[in-house]
Amino acid sequence: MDERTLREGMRDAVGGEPPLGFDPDQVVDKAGREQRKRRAMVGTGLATLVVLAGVATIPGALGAYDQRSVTPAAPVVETSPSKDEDLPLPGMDPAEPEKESGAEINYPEKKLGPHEKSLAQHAGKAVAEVAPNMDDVHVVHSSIPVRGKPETDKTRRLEITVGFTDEVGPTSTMVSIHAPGTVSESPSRICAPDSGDELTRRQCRVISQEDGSTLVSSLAAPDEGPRGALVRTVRHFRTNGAVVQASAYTFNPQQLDPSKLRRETALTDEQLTELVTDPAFTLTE
Amino acid sequence: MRTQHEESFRVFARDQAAALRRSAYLLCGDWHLAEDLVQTTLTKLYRAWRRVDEKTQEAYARKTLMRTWLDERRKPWRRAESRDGVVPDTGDSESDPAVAGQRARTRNLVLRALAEVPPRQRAVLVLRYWEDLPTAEVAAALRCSEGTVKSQASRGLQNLRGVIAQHDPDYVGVGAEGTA
Repeated sequence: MDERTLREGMRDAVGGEPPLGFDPDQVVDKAGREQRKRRAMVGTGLATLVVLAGVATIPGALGAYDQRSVTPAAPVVETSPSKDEDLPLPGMDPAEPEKESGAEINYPEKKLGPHEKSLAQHAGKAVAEVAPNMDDVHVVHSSIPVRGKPETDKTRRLEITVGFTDEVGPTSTMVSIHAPGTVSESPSRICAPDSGDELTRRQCRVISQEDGSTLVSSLAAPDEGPRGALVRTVRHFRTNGAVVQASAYTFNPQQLDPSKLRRETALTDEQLTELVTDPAFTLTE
Repeated sequence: MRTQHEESFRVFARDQAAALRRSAYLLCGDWHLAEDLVQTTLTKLYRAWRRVDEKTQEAYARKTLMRTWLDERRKPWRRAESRDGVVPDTGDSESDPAVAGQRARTRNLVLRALAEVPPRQRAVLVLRYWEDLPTAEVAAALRCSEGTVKSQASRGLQNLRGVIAQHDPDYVGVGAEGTA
C-alpha cells in the first residue's frame, strides 16, 4: 500500500459518517461545571494540608511535650468558605455587601459626578508622582460600574485607568476605589488557598499597618491577557471599610500583545502601595 | 473561564467536533468510542483554553486527541479488547456499483489494516497522511523525534501492506501500481 492509497482509503472510511451523537455545547457546559468543582476540591485539599502542616509543626515549635498542659488535638478545620472572622473591619457594614448575586443584571455605568471627575484627574497626577520616569501619563478611562440594581445614588465603586509609557513601551495601571461596606471579601480570604484564584496566583501577602488598616499584595495570572502574563495588585483595606486597589501588568491591557511581554510589572509593589494608600482616593466626602 | 473565552471555545467546539471525530474514528475504528474521545478531548481543551494560542488551537486539539487516545489504549480494559475494524453499514452516493464496491472494499481493508497496526504507528499514519501534518508537528504531538516519526511511518505502511496482503492479496498489487 502506498501513501496515496492510504489517503484515499482513509477518506472512504470516514465518508459515510453518522451524524454527531453529542451536542458540543453540552460538553462545554459540563466541562465548565467540572472545572468549578475541581477548583473547589483543590482549594479544600490545600486548606486541609495547610492545617495538617500546622498541627505537625506546633509540638516541635513548643519544644518538649509538657505533660501538665493539655494541647488541643487539632485546631478547628475550616474547609469551606464561611463567615470571615476578621470581618467586619471598623466602618464596614456587613449587612450591605455588594450584591454579587445580582451579577446577571448589569445596569449601565453611572455618569461621573464632579467628585469622581476630580478623582480621575488626581489618579493621573498620583501615577506621575509615584513613577516620575514615565512619559505620556494620562487618564485612559474612568467609570462607575454598577452591578445589580443600584439602591442608592451613592457611588459604590469608581474605576480609573491611567496610561503611561516607560522604557519598555505603553501600558496602564488601574485604580479601583470601593466605597465603605461594598467589599464583602476580607483581606485573609483573598490569600486563602480556596479563594478561587489559587490556581493562577503566584504570590499573596497580607500586611497589617500601624493605623489598623491592611494591605494585601498579590501577583497572579490575569483573567484576560497573553500567555505567561502577570498582574500585580495591591489592595488597601482601610479602617473606615473602604478599599482602594491598584494593579499593574507585564503587558499592555489596551493591546494584549503577547510579543510585548515585560519581565516585571510596570509598577512595583511599593509604587502601587503608595497609590492605594493615597488618602485622596476616597468616595466619601 | 471568562465569558469571551468560553464563547470562543464554544465556537471552536462546534466547528471542530466533526473533524476531530473523523480523526478519532481512524484511530479507534469505532464511531461511539470516537465520540467519547472527542468529548474527553474537548473537556481537556476547555481547561487549557485560556493558555492556548489562537494560531495553534487546531494543532493543540489534534495533539490532545492523540494523547487522549493513547491514554485510552493504556487502560487495562482496552488492552484486553481486540478491535476488528468492523465498519457500520452506510450508504454510498456513488451511482456506479463497481466504483461503490471498490470504495467499500478499500474502506474495509484500510480500517481492518489500521486496526491491526500498533497504536503509535497508527497515530503517526493518521497524523501524517490524514491530517497532513509535517514530520516535525507529528513528532511534537507524539513527543518523539522526527527520526522516530519517519521510521514509525515507514514501518506502519509496511505493516499495512502486510495486513492487506493477508486479507486481500490482489489489493496490494493495485496499490503498488498506483505508486509506480
